[in-house]
Amino acid sequence: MKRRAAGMFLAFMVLAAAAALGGCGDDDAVTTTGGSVPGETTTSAGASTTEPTTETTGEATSTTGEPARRVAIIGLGEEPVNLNAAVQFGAAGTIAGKIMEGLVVVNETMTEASPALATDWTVSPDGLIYEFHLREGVQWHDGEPFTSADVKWSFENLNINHTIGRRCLSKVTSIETPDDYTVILTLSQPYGPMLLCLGESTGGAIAPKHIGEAAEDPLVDLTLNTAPIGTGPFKFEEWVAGERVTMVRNDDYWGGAPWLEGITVLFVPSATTAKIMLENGELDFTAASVVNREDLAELGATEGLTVNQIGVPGMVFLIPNHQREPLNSLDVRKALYMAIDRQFILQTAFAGVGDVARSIIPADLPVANVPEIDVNVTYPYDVEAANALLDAAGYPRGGDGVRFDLGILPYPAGRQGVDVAAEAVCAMWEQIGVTCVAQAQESAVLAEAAFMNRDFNVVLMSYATNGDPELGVARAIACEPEPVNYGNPTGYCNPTVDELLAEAAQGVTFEARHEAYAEAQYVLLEDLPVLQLYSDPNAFEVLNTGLWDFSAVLKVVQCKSGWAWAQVQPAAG
Amino acid sequence: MNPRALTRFVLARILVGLLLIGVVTCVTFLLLWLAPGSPIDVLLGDYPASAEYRAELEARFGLDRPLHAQLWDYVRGVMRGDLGTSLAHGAPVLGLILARLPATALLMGSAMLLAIVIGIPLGVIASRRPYSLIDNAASVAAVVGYSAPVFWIGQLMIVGFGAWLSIFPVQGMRSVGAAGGIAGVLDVAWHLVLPMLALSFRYMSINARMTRASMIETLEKDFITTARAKGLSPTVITWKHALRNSLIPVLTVVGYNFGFLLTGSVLVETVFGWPGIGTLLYTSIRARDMQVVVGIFLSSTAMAVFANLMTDIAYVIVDPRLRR
Repeated sequence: MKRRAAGMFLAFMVLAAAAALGGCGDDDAVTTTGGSVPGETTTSAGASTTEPTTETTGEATSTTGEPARRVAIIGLGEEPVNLNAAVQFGAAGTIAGKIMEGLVVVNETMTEASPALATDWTVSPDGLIYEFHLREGVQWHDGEPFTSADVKWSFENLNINHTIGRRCLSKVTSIETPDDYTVILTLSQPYGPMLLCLGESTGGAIAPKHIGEAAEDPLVDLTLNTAPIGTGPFKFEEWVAGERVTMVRNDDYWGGAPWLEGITVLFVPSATTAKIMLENGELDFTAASVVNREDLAELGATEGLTVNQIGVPGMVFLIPNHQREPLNSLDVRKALYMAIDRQFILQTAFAGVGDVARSIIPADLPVANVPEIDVNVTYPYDVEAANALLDAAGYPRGGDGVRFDLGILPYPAGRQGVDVAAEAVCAMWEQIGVTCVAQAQESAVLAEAAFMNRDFNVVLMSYATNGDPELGVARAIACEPEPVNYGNPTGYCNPTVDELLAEAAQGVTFEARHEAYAEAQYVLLEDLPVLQLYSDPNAFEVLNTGLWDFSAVLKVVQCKSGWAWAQVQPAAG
Repeated sequence: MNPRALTRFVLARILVGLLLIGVVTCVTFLLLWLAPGSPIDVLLGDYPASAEYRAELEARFGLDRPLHAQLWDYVRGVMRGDLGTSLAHGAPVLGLILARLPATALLMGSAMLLAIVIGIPLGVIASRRPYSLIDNAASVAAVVGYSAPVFWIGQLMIVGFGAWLSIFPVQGMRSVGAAGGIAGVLDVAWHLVLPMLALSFRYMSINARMTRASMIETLEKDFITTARAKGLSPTVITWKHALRNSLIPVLTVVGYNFGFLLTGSVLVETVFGWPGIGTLLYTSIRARDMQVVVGIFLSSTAMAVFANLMTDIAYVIVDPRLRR
């Protein structure tokens, strides 16, 4: 028996040690002095040795001032399903945005468009006719010349299917190409955000007609989807499934050959690993949401790393179903809103990154920014007032202290912070006598239940704004008689708001649009159709600024455009 | 067993296996078809699309046809060797699966082999003196290895070897810019170490426990007593006589586990960024990409059938009693 007890004790020590190891995970920022991960450089022959390679760390540039590695390494959290940026939004743009180009390059706040494949353009005073003059002498990566026929074919066959692109292109009634270097778009109505859809990662990436035409169905063409051909500063080289995509420099790029010899995009699904790789200098750049929000502060404090937070915000908000009691009552919605401590949610669920929402349209969008509007002033966090409102509205507490029951469906299930936020809101609602369960569901199931069948109480949703209220959050408040996925399932229909939104969409000047959005927001403040919680900056790329000068990259939307990456140089000094 | 009987046996098993694959295909197809959500949703993205546009896409990809029509087309394709086209990827399914299969097979295969090479001897050692210090320590370690979540073990290793020790690479299968040839093989092997270890703990533990239990039972048999009486050394008795006779249950477990060779492990692949099939399966289910999911299930079922067949044949080889 003694021996057995000794064995048990030994085993427990092993367990305890393992638990302790697991507990103190990655606390101190580890700055290694000689990245000893094998085979980082492309210049060394035969990759894997365990000798330290000095090129991979932030501080170790050689005495000639140039890093020995001329390939930038980007980390992506998920592998895109395909690389056709003309159709795919999101991760595909990080890769294909450097291979394919659009007519314009959009800036980081999505307020301006600068020339890319179009050198200049004119917009008719009524906002219906856009005439683009294309850059001459540009070649596709396979040597064919780039002409207006490519633009027309791509827009009509591919970009019209792009998540954002179709929003703009559906307003286009005809595309004319009077000559090889002119494209004329005629719209059915003026459309404010038109130019914003024409960037390479925002819906306007242009695919080659000579490849697409030869395909049986361009949407499932192998070349377009898995080995894209573009006009950009980097050419597609290889896609190793599940591992990486490699691109090489395009020496004939119209904007001048890039300094970088190539770019490698690694798929790093684990946020912990990404953080370690950044600290070890094995990654130069991580796209948004590759690392955990909680790690951002530590990464930003690491020498040689910078966290970028300028971007295109998203909005996290609660969608109540107005077609159900008691959510159809405005007072009930107000009470529910005032029972939510939004600061707390910002600090706990979202690690303090971003802002509490002031309105359903994030304040970061200049065209809709109205400093006087603040839901947190109009409906402050006040549990007592919430209780009083519910009592007055005719929903007193029952014998068990419960007024009524609600459930929250967080979407997408598992996304950083959203689950926690839903739990927090439920807990806060319990305090005012509303029993609540936050029930995570798979996105497809939830979407069908909530959007198509409108069978839900409250959904916690996050919508991307895509840089313009018309392209992003307008869908949350516009009237929707027929159910559509990811639109407005509340049942809220206010003709005034719809009119104002339409006016803003069709506005030709910034001022006209701003006025319309401002007026709409005042109405929305009174109607409180949705409960906006959090303005998600949605852009926290981590950059190795110790090794590279990324200033050009920071000036384009989501740091994706190849044109900006062509200008990446080693960091000075 | 005479050759004719063996041949008949194998053929019968193959036929049953094919039938099984057919059933799995149909059931999977049906389940995905019934599940809420459609592959069109992935194509449309999380942004509103008009009902007409949606209908247009459905017609374009043949998704508006009734279930039996879609299933029949798929089956016909499979018999031609065409596993269909992935809507989400816009690429043939067979290519997608084949691109990731070697990585998965390598990871799972090496983990299972390691589990055999280390797990079985560990079980034997533990069984020599049951309930001794060594045996208890090994038993607890086995339970921990079997119960601890594989992604937690993986993350521990990443922190240990990535952040502290920096010996093994913690991400991916190959280094950036790795060369081919021998150096390339070594590079992959180096990357394989951590994920293989993380995954093999579980199988090692199972094998060890199974071997131990089987050995203890065998060691109590009469012929072992006879062998001791003959004066054979304990080493020879344990490793030559007892082990051989204890292997049937272990073989069962090992063969069963080999059926999972092609299924991969999503958790390990995600933690280590290993480019395997597990991740593809997970993302395809979420995208309701029917053709990819059914294709993966098909290959996994084929593997399981093959593994079971091999196990049965191994029984015949290992156990003379079955040869009649």
